[in-house]
Amino acid sequence: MRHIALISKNELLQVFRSWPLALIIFALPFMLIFIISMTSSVNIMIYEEGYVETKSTMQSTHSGAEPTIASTTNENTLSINEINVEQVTALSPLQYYTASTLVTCILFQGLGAAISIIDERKDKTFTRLRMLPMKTSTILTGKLVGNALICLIQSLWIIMISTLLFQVDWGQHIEILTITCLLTICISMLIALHVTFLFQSVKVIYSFFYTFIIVMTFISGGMIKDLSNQLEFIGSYTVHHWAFKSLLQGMLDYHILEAMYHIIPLMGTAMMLYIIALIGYRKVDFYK
Amino acid sequence: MSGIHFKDVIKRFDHHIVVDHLNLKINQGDILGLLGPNGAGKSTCIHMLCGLLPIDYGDITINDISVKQHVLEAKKLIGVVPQHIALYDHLSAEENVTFFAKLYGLKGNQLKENVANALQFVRLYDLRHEKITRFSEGQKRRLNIACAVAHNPAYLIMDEPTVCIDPQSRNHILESVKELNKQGTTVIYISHYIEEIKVLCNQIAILDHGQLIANGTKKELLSQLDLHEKVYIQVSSLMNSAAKEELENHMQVSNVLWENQQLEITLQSAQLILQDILFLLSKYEISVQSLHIEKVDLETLFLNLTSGTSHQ
Repeated sequence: MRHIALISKNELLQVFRSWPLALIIFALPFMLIFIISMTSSVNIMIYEEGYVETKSTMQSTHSGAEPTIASTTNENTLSINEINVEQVTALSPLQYYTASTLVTCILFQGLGAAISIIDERKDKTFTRLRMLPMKTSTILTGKLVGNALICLIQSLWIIMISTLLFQVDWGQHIEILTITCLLTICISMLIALHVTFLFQSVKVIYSFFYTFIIVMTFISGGMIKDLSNQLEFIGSYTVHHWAFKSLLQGMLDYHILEAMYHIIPLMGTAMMLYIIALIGYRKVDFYK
Repeated sequence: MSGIHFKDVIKRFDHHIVVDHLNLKINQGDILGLLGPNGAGKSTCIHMLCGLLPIDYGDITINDISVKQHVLEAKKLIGVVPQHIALYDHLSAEENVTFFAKLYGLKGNQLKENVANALQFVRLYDLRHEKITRFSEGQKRRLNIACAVAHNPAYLIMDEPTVCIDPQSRNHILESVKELNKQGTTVIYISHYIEEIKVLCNQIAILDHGQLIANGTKKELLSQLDLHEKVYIQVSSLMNSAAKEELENHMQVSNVLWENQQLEITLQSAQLILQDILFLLSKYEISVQSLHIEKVDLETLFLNLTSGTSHQ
């Protein structure tokens, strides 16, 4: 545990002592939410029709740049298993896209973890650490815990600035938000680990993460709400979809048991990636 | 039994044998110089010793602790100065040493004391708060050593620690190694610079094709081989048969070549019979214009044993 704590602390120092990295972690989400808030009036126009059609079945939402569109009913007549286009209209565009931004940022932090592991292997510090009296799994865990903490700090930052500066309502059920964020962080870190097992080149890892996350965000409706049925079907089997929809359910004040429909696949994915990592890391040639 | 013991160690990469039945004993308090051409298996041996690579056959023991069975226990006894500078750029010199010392389990006052001692030892204490990005190559190399010695290891493994540095820094590193050895640290020193090995080590092991081809003190190694020195003498006259014959009959001389005014004498030790040669030449009224002795040294020995080959 002491070794893991020391390596994690070193990871945190590495990020927070480098101003470009700190800038990406703190300034980028702020800029994204700011841009979303600036363009939210346009989005509302897009949603208004849907909202009018479905407002009587929507649950209350208290935030958004255009308060006039918020429903005043507390009835929740939605299916607990899915949120369709009409349901989403009960959220403000700012809520919708901030939730998507949060999930995307968490997933992108996996890129930071992967690059950190690859850099350490390239700089030979990883080899040096392996010469010390500790297991390779301890080193990897330490690095992932450190990056997970960075990711957690970034998530808290996004939630904080979106709530305080842009009045985004994350709902009453903080447990949904917490569980979803923690599970997505775990998945993001485990994806990073698997990627470093497969690839040695930073360029390849960059390309993989950008393609993987942007495509996943797009097909799960995190960029554009109205997608074709085929894309929506494929998108419903992605980590982004489960995390995103779970956050939206939290915003709509669903009960945690209802949100489990999306949380359970996240748990399953995290478990599966963890088991594969446990088996896989022994076969990785760290000596290369 | 203290010391490091390689017991019939074999290492294969795919079907290629990199270390072949290696048996080597390093006694406590020694400085072992490990020599060998590129690809001889030196680094592989060290990486097996450090637990980076699994041992395919045989075992390595450090103070009777098997690296194969108790790698973490064995690793606690050693400090490794890697070939490459392996430090964290975002940390200061002191933070780097502290980080590695903490990972070896040092805490509290002992940690502070050892870190300060290690930095003083490599003469970087005054720069302890500086980021290492501002350090020269030599200073980084010295810090690389400080990170490996802060926990006072019983055995220090140094893999080419003086590559790419200026002579001042090199001398300082060599002095540091001697000092550490005086304090009781056993050192395994890998280098391509035979001069360094000659100055530093009291035991020399030469590896080639993964096999130990020579092991012992410098004196022992030189005596094992039937190597000869050569004396080149530029003389005033052309070949004198009588003088040549008398030279050839000398007990210590193996061969005499006399071409034009160039005399080449192959012998056991020039130091012992140089006076005899000069006396003999003067007896035949042959004056010496210039003289050059090609001595057998560690480099000759190394090149002779390894046939000057490089396997990579």
